[in-house]
Amino acid sequence: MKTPRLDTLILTAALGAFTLAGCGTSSGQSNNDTDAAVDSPDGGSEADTGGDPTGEAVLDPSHFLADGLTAPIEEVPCTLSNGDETTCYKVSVVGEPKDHEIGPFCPRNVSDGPEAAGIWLEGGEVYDADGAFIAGLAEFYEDPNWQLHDEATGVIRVTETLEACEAAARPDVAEEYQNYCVECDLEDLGGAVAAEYLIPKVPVPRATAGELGGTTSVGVALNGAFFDPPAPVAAILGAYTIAAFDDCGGHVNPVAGYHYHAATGCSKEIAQDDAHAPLIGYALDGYAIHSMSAEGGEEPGDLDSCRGHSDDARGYHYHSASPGENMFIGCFHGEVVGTVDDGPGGGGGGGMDVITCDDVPDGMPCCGDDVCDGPETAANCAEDC
Amino acid sequence: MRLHTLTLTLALLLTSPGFVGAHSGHSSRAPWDACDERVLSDGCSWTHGDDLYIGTCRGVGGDLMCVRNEPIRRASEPNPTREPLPWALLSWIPGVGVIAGISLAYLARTSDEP
Repeated sequence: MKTPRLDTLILTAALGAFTLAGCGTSSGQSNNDTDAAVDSPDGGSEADTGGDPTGEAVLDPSHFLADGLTAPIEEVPCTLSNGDETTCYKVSVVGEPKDHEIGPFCPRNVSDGPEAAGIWLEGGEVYDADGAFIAGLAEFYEDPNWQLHDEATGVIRVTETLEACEAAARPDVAEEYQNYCVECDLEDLGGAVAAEYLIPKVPVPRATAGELGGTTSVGVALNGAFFDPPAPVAAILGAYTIAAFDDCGGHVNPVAGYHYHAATGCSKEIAQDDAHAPLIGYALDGYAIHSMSAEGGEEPGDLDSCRGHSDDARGYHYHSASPGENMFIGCFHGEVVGTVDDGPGGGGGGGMDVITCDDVPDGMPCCGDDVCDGPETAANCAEDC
Repeated sequence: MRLHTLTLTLALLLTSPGFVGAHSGHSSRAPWDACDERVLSDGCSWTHGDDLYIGTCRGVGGDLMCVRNEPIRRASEPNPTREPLPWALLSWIPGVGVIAGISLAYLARTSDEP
């Protein structure tokens, strides 16, 4: 007779303890959030007052590869997103990496190994986008509609022309280019797409973190290329396309040219004297971006919601997310030139980062001059720039 | 006997430190889905396999996504989190409870037997 009561007691105790443990996890997470970024009444995150305590310039022009620039970095007057008039560095990049090759991206046959293909970023992990991976997409995504290759020959459908690239690398992927591996060739675009960035010489912390646009770059690498926000992978996958990245985490689209979506250690790095993670570039708000962690080291445990933190040696700086997360930084800690979103509401690009006027602040490549009228393509970009 | 087995199985399942929802294939939407029912700056988390990604909902391209800002909690590694000590201790309570429960049940059955 006692046994049922004991069973009930055991189960009740277990359930209660389980509930407590669940609360513990939730509360712990909440505490960490509070530590990382103090939430403000408007829902933004309060800037870390420890950022750039010296008020000195963060960006060091000497860190950039000279042949990655179309012109020497110069100081110019600029207006920040909060209306402040200040001095910016004008960083003119060639739009392609000068310290590593570009590609390969898509394999051509299911028999191709990883050396003939790039990578795919999914759910925090990095996968070789080789022939076997492409052939196994239906199983990988648990969706039988994936079929990028010819069953008889093993040939993988790849966008081989500029027309195909433009048709597949847009939010509404043309039906005839669904189930394609999408890649664009810089040669078809007439070469690298150079870009100019105005970056505050002395970073100015924002009152609330600034949100990232869907397609506007978030920063510049030191090698002539630039960092983009997380790729809209869901839109790409919705059309059964894979816009493969090369092993360095970059790919080419018809508008931006070559750009990175992940830090894989390919681009120029500046080692730190104190074994801190190396510098890999600068965000558009002027703060430095470091790799996720030093080689063999651990990721910092005190990052704020933008993935930044401060230390005595560097002041405020960001740490890139892991390559599989398709991300460098989570938001802007500082003011940028032009406009920046304070929260969701703007438009976001689909497909392979095709942009609209709403995505591009004044002073950035393409748009901003009120003459573009829809998704930018290589065909109409020139007249807008 | 069957009731014992069922009870203990449920208890062990629910109190297992590794208990997480079943992983259903690869989902590129996971960081976005993690913020579906949340607002800007809310805490969030998502999983890949048994790995846990914890962060904050931030706006990217007009949508909210979970931006991880804690080290990834790999299922294969000891928990490296900065979890406050009292909560870390609490997380062991279920295991202690199960062991105590099993012992009590065994003693009760033993004492019931003629």
